[in-house]
Amino acid sequence: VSAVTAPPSAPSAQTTSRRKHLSDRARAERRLAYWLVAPAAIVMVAVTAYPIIDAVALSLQRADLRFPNATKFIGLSNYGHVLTAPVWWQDVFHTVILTVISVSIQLVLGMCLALVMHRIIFGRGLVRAIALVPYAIVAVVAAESWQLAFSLQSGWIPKLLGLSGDPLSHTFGTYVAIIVTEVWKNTPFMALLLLAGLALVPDELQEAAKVDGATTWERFTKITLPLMKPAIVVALLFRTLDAFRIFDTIYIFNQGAQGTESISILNYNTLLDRLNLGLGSAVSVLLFLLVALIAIVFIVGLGAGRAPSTEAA
Amino acid sequence: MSHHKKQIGGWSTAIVVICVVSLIPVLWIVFLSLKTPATATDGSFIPHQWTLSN
Repeated sequence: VSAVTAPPSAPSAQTTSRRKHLSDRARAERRLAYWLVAPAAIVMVAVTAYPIIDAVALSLQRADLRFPNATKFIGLSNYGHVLTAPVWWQDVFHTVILTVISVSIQLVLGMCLALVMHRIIFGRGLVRAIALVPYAIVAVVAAESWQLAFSLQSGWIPKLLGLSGDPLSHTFGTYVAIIVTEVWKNTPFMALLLLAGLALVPDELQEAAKVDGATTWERFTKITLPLMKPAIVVALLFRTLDAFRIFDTIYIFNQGAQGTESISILNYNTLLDRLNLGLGSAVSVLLFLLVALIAIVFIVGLGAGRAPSTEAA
Repeated sequence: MSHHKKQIGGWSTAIVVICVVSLIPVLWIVFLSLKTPATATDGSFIPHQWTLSN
């Protein structure tokens, strides 16, 4: 691979010299291409950038819908209020706990599901279709059905487990119920991403290791996992970003009561219950920065998106 | 038991587990929709009184 890889400076020098020698017709075609792409590019930038810029602008103001005439620029005060409030750090802690536990379980179960879907010798189509059913259920419907299933009055789970108390009446039980809902709903998506990574593992390597006497576990840990690392990191990145913004499941279960309030629930309460656009926007921007930080850690630190190399095996 | 039979048994178990875990909650949603308002919160998995009026 290294023999055919040019040094980094070479392509840029070639491109520069090619640009200088573009014909008039090529330049006109390039200009036309820019004009044709421009409307879509402008719409994309506007749609993604406008809400972010608006939220940042609002977060720098005292903007409260209860006192519309008192709106004024206050700099970073809203960020100071949010970051010094104990509730912010409690909610960050709740969100991290829910994210770490649910994504870890999803990774393990998703890997098992992906291996079954990849290796199964009969009923492959049926298993793949059935395994994806939870992902097709609307998130609010899934949360509502699990909330009813865990409830002592209306649910079948307390009866099945022989519980005398309501699992949703205390923090631990509510966390378990929320994590079960998240895992059930999102494991198929994790499995799909991992299945794509499994397809990249060459069968020849597995066969060669088998001939050399490697056990199933050794082949999994020393061949499959290293070759799947980019797919695993991408799957973890997608699910972690999604799990960190958890809202609907908690909102359906108890709207953040019993110590389950996440950052998104705090954001919702500040914006829509307290009608404080300034503070709510500050929470939104901080959540955005946290999500961006997670993405950077995954992409730079763990190498999401790097192409797999068979040399690793 | 031969290796082939063991393999079939293992895969069958995996299929059953996937089907149960994936479909039981969906069945619960469907059964809930077929319960009458009076029995919707009675805690039974299968409705005692079926209705399509919902």
